[in-house]
Amino acid sequence: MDILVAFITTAMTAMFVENAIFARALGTSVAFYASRKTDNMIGLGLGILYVTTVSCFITYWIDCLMYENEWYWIVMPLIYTVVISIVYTGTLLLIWRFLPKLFKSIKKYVHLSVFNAAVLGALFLNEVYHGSLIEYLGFGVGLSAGFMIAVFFLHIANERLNSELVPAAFRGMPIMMVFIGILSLAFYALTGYNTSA
Amino acid sequence: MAQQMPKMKKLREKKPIRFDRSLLDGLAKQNVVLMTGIVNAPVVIAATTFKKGTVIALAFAFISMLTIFICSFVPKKIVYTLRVIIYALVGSVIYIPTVLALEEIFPRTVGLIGIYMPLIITNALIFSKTESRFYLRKRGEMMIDVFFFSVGFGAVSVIVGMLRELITMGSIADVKLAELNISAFEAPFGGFIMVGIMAGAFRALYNYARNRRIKQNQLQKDKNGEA
Repeated sequence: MDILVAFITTAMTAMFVENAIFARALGTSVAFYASRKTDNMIGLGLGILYVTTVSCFITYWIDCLMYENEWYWIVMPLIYTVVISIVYTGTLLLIWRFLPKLFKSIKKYVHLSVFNAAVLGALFLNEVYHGSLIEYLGFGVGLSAGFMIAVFFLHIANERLNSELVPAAFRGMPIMMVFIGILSLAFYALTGYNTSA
Repeated sequence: MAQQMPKMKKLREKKPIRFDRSLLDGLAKQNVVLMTGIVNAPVVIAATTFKKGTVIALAFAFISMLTIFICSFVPKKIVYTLRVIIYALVGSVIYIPTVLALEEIFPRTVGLIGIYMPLIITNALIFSKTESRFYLRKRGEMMIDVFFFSVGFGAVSVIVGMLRELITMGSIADVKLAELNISAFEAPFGGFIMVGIMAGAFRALYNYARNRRIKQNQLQKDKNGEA
């Protein structure tokens, strides 16, 4: 029961308080791309969820071994990139071997769901907070789910933010950034507001 | 010897770098923060002071330029799905000397940037622009192109850092200039809104200048035609 509570609490924190897009701006450009089509949104979201969770599981053991090392922060990006690359290659080989149709359809954008700031950022943040294995996994799942929620919000607003209602210069990316800023402000309130002071 | 001559001639013909306007695209037309928005996390979150903006700009330029240059030697025979692994690995190796050098020059600032420093290795200049733009050019032209893309990013990073420092602390590069203290602009939402408004204003200015240039060229053509 304690394990489940720890998992859910960490996942919820990562999803709402440390939201990949609204609180950390991790993978914003990928989110812009994913929000254009429903297929992209689901495919990229699930890809990020899978890679982040598996990588979090592996990096937990590496962090436990190297955490005390003074030089770890310098080589950490290289180690994490190796881990992500192994997960990416292994998964691609499995999909290519057993699900060739799926491999063909995801080949074009699969790298976007692996080598992006959301995946690497989740691993770095996990190292900073350095919790238990369950918390590592909870954080990975939560951050990816938070990314998917953010992309979903952007997807809903996408059509309107690209419409002629918006001045031409602001259409697309600029107004999307302002929109994310306003939603970020709302998410910021989730960290807590105290009226006593 | 006679066979070598045409080869040498061919090589010499390949050498000259054609310096056209498109090499400057990274500065304004395709600025990665304000126009295409493909790299914005370090600017939105971490560029909250002039110093941080400068460190991010330098790290971005070093990591991107060196990684793109080294990876241009990776054979195109390897499929892109696997080539990206090499790009990521080269980027994370380049990160090590870059961060050590910047740590020497800006000892406290590098630590304050936190996770956004290593995240530069996953920037879209390395993973997207290489295939769609840089590697389609000759190596010399490619490096000039990457340089101007880095300058375009760096300029925005420094300006955003400077503006946010001025608004949140009333200073620029730790020099007190005014009694301002609007701390909201230090938060992520402040960064998003500021970069969004800057992007819109920059696009409006760019479009205005472009339309004016087109009109002037048209007028000039008409005049020449009449003459």
